[in-house]
Order: sequence, then structure tokens, then C-alpha cells
Amino acid sequence: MKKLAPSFPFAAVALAAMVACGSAAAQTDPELAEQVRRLREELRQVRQELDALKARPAAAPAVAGPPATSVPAPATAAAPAPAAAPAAQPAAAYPATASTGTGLNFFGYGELSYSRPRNNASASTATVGRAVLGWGYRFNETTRMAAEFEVENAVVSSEDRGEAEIEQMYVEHDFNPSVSAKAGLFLIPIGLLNESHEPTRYFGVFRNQVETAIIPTTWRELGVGVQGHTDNGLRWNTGLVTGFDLTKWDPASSEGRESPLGTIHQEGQLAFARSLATYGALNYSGIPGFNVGGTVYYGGVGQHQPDFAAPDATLTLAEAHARWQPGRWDLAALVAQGRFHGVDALNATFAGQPTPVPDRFGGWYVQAAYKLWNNQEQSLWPYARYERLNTAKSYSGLPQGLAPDIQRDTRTLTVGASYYLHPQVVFKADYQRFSNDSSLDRFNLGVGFEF
Amino acid sequence: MHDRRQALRRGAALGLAAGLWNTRAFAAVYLDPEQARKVLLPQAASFRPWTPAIDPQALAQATEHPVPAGFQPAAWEGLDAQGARAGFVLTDHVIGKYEWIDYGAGFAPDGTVLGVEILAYRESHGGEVRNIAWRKQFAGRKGPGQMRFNDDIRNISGATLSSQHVTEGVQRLAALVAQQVQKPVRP
Repeated sequence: MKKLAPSFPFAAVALAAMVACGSAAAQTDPELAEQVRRLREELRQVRQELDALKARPAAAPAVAGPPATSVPAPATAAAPAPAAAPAAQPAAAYPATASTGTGLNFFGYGELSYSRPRNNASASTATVGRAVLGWGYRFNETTRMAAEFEVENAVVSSEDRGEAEIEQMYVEHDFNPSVSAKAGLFLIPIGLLNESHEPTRYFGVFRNQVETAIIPTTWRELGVGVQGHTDNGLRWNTGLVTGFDLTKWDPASSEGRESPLGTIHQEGQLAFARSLATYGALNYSGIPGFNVGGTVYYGGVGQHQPDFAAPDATLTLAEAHARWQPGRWDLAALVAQGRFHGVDALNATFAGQPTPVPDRFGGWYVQAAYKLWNNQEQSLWPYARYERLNTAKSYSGLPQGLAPDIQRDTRTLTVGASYYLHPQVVFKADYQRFSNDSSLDRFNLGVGFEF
Repeated sequence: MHDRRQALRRGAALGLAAGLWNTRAFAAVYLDPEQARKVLLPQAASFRPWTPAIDPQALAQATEHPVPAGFQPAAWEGLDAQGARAGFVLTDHVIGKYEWIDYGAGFAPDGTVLGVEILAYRESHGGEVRNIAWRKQFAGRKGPGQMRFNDDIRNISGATLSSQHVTEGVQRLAALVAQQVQKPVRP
């Protein structure tokens, strides 16, 4: 292809020479006219050949894409090419169709935060909440893998409170352009946040409480999942995966009250797999700027463990959500409800303990954000969110008088703003007011990015 | 309990089968550039390639977004049976989150967008950019100023990066076509 560049000037010079020679040799006007006509025809043929040669690399579907070990720069993040750059790069260096080859790519995100309780400044904390590096490798056009490695709270050791974890690791294959399946450790398609949990994707320095305490984001399981799309905007997911482990429940700890599922998740770590779980999710995005969907998850949590009081216990978790982004507004709502079944016998052994297993737990939130200002890649979004949730709405299996009191719903109002320095870099500030426990009120600052 | 679990599993299997059948019936078709040309500009009897002159600074100014280094889409001018200009087709690729998305756009002779097609999508999430309704938002718009992301072209929840980057890509193509429509059809 690079040889083409000199070929056209060469043809022009040759043509000029031919014209000059032809003019000298021409004896009469008709002869001269005939020569000009023939030269014009030859020029037309040369131009056609040149066009055909130029078309070849662009039209070929199987041109080289990003090198196997290269990291393609995100389009929006790419620096403008210098003005002195050649007007037209060789097509092979920037194929108009990307690749049918293999490729290793890296991605990731980071979130850092500062939190200051309103009534207890001495309890202020700052932390590197999450540092995540992901990588994906494309084996061919239909089979790929992806994985994420995450460190929470900066330092991981026996003396520190950080965690290191593989958050995702799966192989995915496309059966056809609309249906794919994955096997491995992957995110459950539930809610607005679990699959899109990067800090630039949600409002608030911290993730909302409903999708933390009720839906235990970042929720992943080992198993097999299938996903499909239709042209008219419907996405469906279903799968068979590992579930929770109720034998981990500690009735003496408050963890079960903070997040009933967060305290018994297995996260792909030597997970009990005697009882598996299934899920089904539907999402509709057929109207631009609007998404509505829901997920139902059902599976065993007792894991049929011998000498355990609730070997057949199960869990159902259902969720529905909607997000509407008309004009400068971004509106969202979500409701989630969970229910444990078959925990009576287990709770009977927990009588008198502060945290038995609840029968029901759930919550909801509504959120509004408005793009107040934007300038090219920068934008400012004030937001407000109201949440109401209860991690223990009822108990069963406990003798009268030995069940803990049902606590009032946690009601939280979060008001703040996100300033996007770039669509993938965000600074956040917000204030959270807890209606039923003002000692929790706090002011938060955060910075996040993804690539 | 056992019966209930069995019923749920059967339901999931049935749902999966129904979903597979349905998605096959409505399957999006990945296109190679030749197919894309025919889909995006069916009124053209023939196509003639052209090489857009890229001025990154002017392009960045027109689209209000940086231009990827080495940006050089493939471009064709469509001609009708009489040799008159029928429109333009350009194909390019952008990054979704970390993988390439191949896409193309068809334009009328005056630069109005006729349609956008996704030629290939390679990531687990964000494939909703292939939705017909989302792509239809571009049709009838002319020039990069009429297709600003989040203002003229709506976001897709859960596919933000893909929809933003494809939008910015189509803006760049529209800017190139806007230059080309000023030029007469080559004999």
C-alpha cells in the first residue's frame, strides 16, 4: 500500500512526458486530437486501477487489528494528533474494521474517599477504597476471557483490613451475534450497579446502601451464564451458579444486620457448591435514554451440610429497576426484596442472640441528577438520593419474647455533586443524613476513574 | 421444596430456549464493509473509494472531542446508475470499554445521516449500541453539531462508554462528509 503514494506522481510525470512527445510528433490537428483522446483514456484507466488498489485494505474484512500485546487507547482519551501529522495515514495503520485477530487489553478503575462524621470528627477516615486492574484476552473473534484483580483498602496483610480478591475471571463465547455464554467467576446481572460499579458510573462518593446491604455488590458467583440481545432492545440473562453459605452466619455479630447476604457470600473462594442457584434477568433499553429491568435469583444456602440446622434453607432475591435520562436529567429508581426460607430450625438455636437470620429484608431508592454545566468533556452533576431499607423485617423460629425487636427502616438522604473532569474521571462531594440515627450523618469526598 | 426447585429449573430452561429462539429470529447481523455499504446506501449502484483529508485540529474543533491518533476511516462515495452522487458510506472503529467496536454510517449527498450500523461488537457488556432504536437517533441529523452525546443522542444505561464513543465516532464521520459534500462529483 505504501508503494501507491509514489505511483500516482509517477503516472502523472509519465503522462506529461507522453503528452510532450506526442505533441512533438503530431503533424495535424486530427492526429493531435486522437492522441489526446487516447491519453485521456489511459489516464482514466490508471485512476481506476489506483482506486481499486486503495480500496483493497479497507474492504478486506480480515485486516490486522490492535497488536496482540498492545493496549488500544480509548478514543476519548486519545490525545489529538499533532497538527503536523500527515493528512492521510496509511490505511493499514488504522484499519477501518478493527480486527479478526487476538488481542490483550487492560482496563481498570480506582476509587478513593474521605469521610467525616458530622458529630465525631475524630472518626474521620480516608482510604483507597478500591484499586482494580482488569485484563481481557481475545482468542479469536468469538471467544474471549476477562478477569479483574482488586485490592480494597490499600494494604492486605494479617494485620491490616484490606482485601485482595479476584473479582471476575471467566471465558466467554459468542454462539451467534446475539447469544453468548460465559463460564467462570462473573458478576450477577442484577440492579443498576452490580455490573456497572465503576465510580464514574454512579452518583455518590459511596455506592448506594440498597445495592450494598440488600444486593451485595460487587456480587459475583462461579458458574455458567447465558446472555442474549435482541435488535429491539431486550437483553436477557440466565445462569446456574454457586450460591451463599448460611453456615457462615454469626448470630453474635452485627454483620448480618449490616448486610444479610454480604456476610454469607462465598466469592468464588472454595465455595460450597452442593446447592446451586439460578437467576433470570430481563432488561429493556429499546427506548433511547430509558432502561427498565429486573432480576430474580433463587438458590440453596444451607448447602446440605451435615450437622447444620438448616441444610435445606433457600434464598429468593428479587429486584426491579428503572433509569430514565431525559435531556439533562438522570433519574433512577430501584427496589429489592430478599427472603430466606427454611431457617426456623436454625433460628431456634440462635434464641437470645442479637442477630438471627431474618425472614425478609429489602429496600428501595429514588435518585435524581441534573447536568448543571458542561464544557466539552467536563460536566457538573448535582444529585440527590433518598433510600429506605431494612435488613431484618421479620424473623421466624424464635420463641415469643426471644426475638430481637424489629428495627425501624434506615432512611438516608444523600445530597451532593459529581464533577467530571473527563467522562472517565470524577470528583465527588456529598452529605448523607440518616433520619433514624443522626450520629451516622457524614460528609464525604471522593475521586474515581476508570479506563 | 424439591418440587419448587425443579419447577424453577424447568422454567429457566424453557426461558433460555425461548430466548434463544427469539434472539435468532431478531438476530442483529454483523456486517463486513461491503455488506455495510449496501445496507447503509442501498440506492447506490456502485461505490468509489475516497480518502478523506484528515486535519485533526479542525476535526477536534468541529466535534469538540479529541481525534484518536492515526484516525483514518474507510470511505466510499456511492454513485447511482447515471453516475450521479447517491451519498457516502464511511466505516471506522472506536474503543468501547477496552475492545474495538466496528461501525459504519451512511450519508445522503447533502451530508444528512441515513443510518448507522454496528459491524462488530466484542465485549461482554455494552452491546446495546446495536439496538435499532438507539441507532435510529442518528438518522436525519446533519453535521457533528446535531449529534451531541447526551443532548441529541441519548445514553444507554449500562452501555455508557460504548454509546458515547460510537456517537463521537459518527460525529467525526459526519464532519468529514460535511467537507466532502462541497466538492463536485469526480468525473
